[in-house]
Amino acid sequence: MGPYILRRILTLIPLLFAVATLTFFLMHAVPGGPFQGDKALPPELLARMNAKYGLNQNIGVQYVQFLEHLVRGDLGISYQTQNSVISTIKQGAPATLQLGLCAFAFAIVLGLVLGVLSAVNQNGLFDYIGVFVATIGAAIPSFVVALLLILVFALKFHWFDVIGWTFGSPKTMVLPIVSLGLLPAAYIARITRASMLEVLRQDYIRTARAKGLDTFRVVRGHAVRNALVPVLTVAGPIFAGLITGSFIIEYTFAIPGIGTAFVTAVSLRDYGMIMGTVLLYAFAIAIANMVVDVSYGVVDPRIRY
Amino acid sequence: MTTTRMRVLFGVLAIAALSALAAACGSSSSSSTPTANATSGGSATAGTSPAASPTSAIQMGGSVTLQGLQFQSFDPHYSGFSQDINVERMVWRGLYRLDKDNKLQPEMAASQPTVSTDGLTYTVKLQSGLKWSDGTPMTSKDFVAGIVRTCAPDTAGYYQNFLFSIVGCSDYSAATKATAAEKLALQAKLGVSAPDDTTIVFKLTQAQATFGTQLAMWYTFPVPTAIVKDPATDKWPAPTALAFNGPYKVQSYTEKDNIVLVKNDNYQSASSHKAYLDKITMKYIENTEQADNAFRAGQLDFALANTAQITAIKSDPSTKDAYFADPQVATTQALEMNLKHKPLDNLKVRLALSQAIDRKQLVQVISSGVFIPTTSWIPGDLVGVAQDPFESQIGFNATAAKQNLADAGFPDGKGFPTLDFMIRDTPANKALAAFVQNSFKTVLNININISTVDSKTRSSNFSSGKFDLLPGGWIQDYPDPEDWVDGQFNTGGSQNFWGCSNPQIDSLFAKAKVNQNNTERLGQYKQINEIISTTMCGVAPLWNQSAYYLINTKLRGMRSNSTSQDAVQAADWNVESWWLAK
Amino acid sequence: MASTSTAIPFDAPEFTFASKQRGLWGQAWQRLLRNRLALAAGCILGVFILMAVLTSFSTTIERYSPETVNYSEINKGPSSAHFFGTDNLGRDNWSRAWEGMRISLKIGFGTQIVVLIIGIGVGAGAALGGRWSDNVLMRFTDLTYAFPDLLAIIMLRAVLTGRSWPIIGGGDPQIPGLSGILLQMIAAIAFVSWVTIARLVRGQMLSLKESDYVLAARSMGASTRRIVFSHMLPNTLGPVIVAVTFGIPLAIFAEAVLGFIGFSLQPPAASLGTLINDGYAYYRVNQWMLLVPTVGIAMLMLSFTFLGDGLRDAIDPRTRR
Repeated sequence: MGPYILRRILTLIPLLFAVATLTFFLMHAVPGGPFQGDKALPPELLARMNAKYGLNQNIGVQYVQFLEHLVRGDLGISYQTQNSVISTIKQGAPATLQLGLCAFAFAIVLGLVLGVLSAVNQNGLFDYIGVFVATIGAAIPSFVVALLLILVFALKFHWFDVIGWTFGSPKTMVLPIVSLGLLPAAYIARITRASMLEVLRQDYIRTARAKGLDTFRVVRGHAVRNALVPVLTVAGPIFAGLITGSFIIEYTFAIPGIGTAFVTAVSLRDYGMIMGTVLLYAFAIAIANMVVDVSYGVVDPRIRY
Repeated sequence: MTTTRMRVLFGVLAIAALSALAAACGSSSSSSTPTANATSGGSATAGTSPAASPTSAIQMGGSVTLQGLQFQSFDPHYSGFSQDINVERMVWRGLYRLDKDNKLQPEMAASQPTVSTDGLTYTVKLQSGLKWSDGTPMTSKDFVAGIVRTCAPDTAGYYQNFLFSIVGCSDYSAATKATAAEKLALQAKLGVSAPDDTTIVFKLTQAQATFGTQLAMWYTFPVPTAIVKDPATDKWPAPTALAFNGPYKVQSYTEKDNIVLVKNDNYQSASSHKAYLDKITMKYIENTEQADNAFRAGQLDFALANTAQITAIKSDPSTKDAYFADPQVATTQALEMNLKHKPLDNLKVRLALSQAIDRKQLVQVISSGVFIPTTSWIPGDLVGVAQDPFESQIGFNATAAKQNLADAGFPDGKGFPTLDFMIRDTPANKALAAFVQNSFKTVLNININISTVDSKTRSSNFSSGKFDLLPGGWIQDYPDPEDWVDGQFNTGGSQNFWGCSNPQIDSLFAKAKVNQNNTERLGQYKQINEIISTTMCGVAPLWNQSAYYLINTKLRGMRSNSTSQDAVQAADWNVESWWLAK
Repeated sequence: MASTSTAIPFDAPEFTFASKQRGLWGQAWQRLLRNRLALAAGCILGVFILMAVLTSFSTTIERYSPETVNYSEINKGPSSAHFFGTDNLGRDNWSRAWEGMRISLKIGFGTQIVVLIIGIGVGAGAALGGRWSDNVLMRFTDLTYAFPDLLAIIMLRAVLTGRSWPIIGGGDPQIPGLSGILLQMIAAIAFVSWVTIARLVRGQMLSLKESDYVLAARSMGASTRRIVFSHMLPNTLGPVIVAVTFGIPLAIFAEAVLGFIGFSLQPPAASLGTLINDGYAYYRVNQWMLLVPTVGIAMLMLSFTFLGDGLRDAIDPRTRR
């Protein structure tokens, strides 16, 4: 397991370089520069500001300069805030990662529970409830879900806050987590249900039942574990989707994460921030995929690295 | 989100129209009667709000939470955006300020400036005993440093050119490629000096009539030289590492989340008083609808009102008393046209386009009647005309529109090219574009192509002349018609992207810029405005806009103080007068 | 994935394979028909597609043009004049909804067609092209996989935006029915979504490459082309079809998210996603503007999802009830 992890970490470095290069040329291909504000600037001023940040040079020259800075760990300045990109990301990343991880946990737990219940109770009440929740989550865009939840639970019942995020305070955390996590929960519930159904038909389950073990132990002991594998397959992409897609929820609930930072950065052509956020996300996704692959080995002892 | 932020900037900033202009050498002005009467909600006349209590009942202390917008820069010598300037005005102040009648009042200065007879030298005396918020003494050096920083080539501030009347500022700001020694030499030649600790002398290249007003603007705020040692080159510190001379000071700042201001006990103004509130928290919320929801839930004491749903706000019991439409307006939105693209160079074509738009119906559809239709580029009471003076000439008239288009060579729209209407992708813009497209089709039988771009592409296309038509406008920087004309309508002006070139405008403007006789000067701008509006020299004015807020009924001082100054929060230029009723 | 280890009777290749294929698909079809949920989903989709097409041809069914504004009928609820009510400019929600459905379906199917072309091309190329091309293509796939999806879509959209190139930009000529912006949207979404298909195809083909019947066909002199197209592709298609069916609603959602940021289609054209975004801005004054496209997109999503489930159950015999 050790050498495997090491190998994966080592491949991360050229991968991130490739991502950085691709990002660099993509973002410079977007028309317009960072210094055209709402009040159209006089051309001399524009030229001055571009010169100040080295944006008037040849693209190849800029790329080389960028690489030189990158290897030193310097991602430059955010034109929006005039602070270093790294410090801006450090400020915003915790909220996004907290939101993403909590929503992920929520999605996994809710998805697994609904999926298992639906499968075990096939065609029964729980099955239909599970299918219902799953379908709602999978069919309505997250910002509409967020809106509905806010209108009902925040404005009408006053159970939760409309905006804000304070880690550890359920009043601010519940609505964003549910809005973000409902779609992946639905997806996981469906996969779990299908996978459980398949596992429950297997011979060894029938054997266990025949031996007289009660359903619950059978499910817990054998079925769930085996049904987890397909869920793990999708866990990586789901996590990736959660942290990249969190900006809608962050925007809605005024959560100071970096999700919105990326979108704003693209709009404002804030090259430093674009690069910083892309690299952060790519890194997080790669780590998540690695964790998932490693946990395959834990869940399914047949898989060896 | 930027689109929303821009939408807020253009759609919701509050600027009151002026009643009179008072330049440094101001003469008496006409009384202030707000011509733009915002319908329903809040006050009907400037200055009074139904729930206002008499000043003697002001209660000290308290803490409020407002919706704020994340600033781009915290350096007033660089800032160009309203969301920067509004918070900078709360923590710093300049030599002078504009009061609620837009008269120049001494703030850090002890009295009005002494102006030489040729109008080229301004001498300002500071109050004695001025201190920064950290206790260090504030001297004239700090104010000189402020001018230096704004004019410095390394700063590349948005509003540098507004100080180009100061000797040497223009040359200094252009020296981006000069060596450090050359830059220092140019800096020394700047027409601003501090002969002693409480005197500042400005030398001008031209007798700019509005120079006194400039000394109230954020780009002339002082620099705390004990912290920023070299104003020309030092990086501006973080908000928590600075010193302040305004009614409030920064206590804490979390980027993209919030900024917290607390009362500054060292604030000493010749025309104002110490702040009433203890603490102001500005929570950064870009999504205005959600801010309104947070207001409804009691999480905010102030929010910008979402104009897309204004009818709901006005009828909803949880917001209708809190709704406040600033009765003074100083934003004009217009249909902007590129005169360098045929057939827009033909006056009759522009006239036809302007006459095809029913402005009254337009404001009804896109704002439920909250906006105010206009045909004047500069707000009427700034130049002494009615609010909608040219309605009969360029306002809605379907028959005349058709006739003009035919006279221009395109009878019934035949042969007219499909023009491009460039908008940013927001619901408000889309509604406007659909309206205009429909108007042109029904009245003139011509087609336009709506292209949605993001704000950077829009700015880039706009400033490089790659556009036909687009919705745009102007939000007043300082309450003077000069602000509405300078650079935009004079031939070759740096912001004249629509290619307006009219010799009458040019000659009138050249005279007005240096005209010390204020009545004559205003008369000249009145003429300029008439030419711009009736020949649609780049712009066909559509509506005036106010600012629309939700204000906690217990939060006083915000409603009764809005004037002509570019504000994100109501009366943010007079933040020391906000108070909380218990 | 796992190589096929079950024994396949070796008879005269042509006939066995021919009937095996028909038999395979025929059985799958039967199974699908027996799945009532998938059947219902398929019917709903059929109705939607039919309505979407009909409204573009027949003004009787469409009733109003989706672009016609009517300032005296702003924000009205459902009535006999307007089945779904009107929007903030007085446009008929019924016709707007069907146009939205049309455009969303174009985006959904359009992206998947591009995804199929790229995915099958890359996957097959990797599996069949030898080690070197396998390596290169797989590294390329890894790079695309590692790049955060949504961010790439946003950047691609931003790069393509505002250009006046012909066909895929704003300039002439344009394909009727597929505006430049629409194609840009399709391109942006498709360019990041092909990885799953490529991996699937590669995996299937790699294992099929070594399977008995392919070896047999080879030994009988069948050309590579014939092997790939007649034997390998059809056996790969099963999971690919399922992936595509799930990919359609994901593409539609992705476009809605893009609209949310401000990269939507040129007005007055509006996909369901754009309609939802517009309705979202006016929900307090007009609930129908939001409700209609939300229900529409929900039913679209669910139908594709259940259909996909049904297809997967039908094609993969192991999950048979």
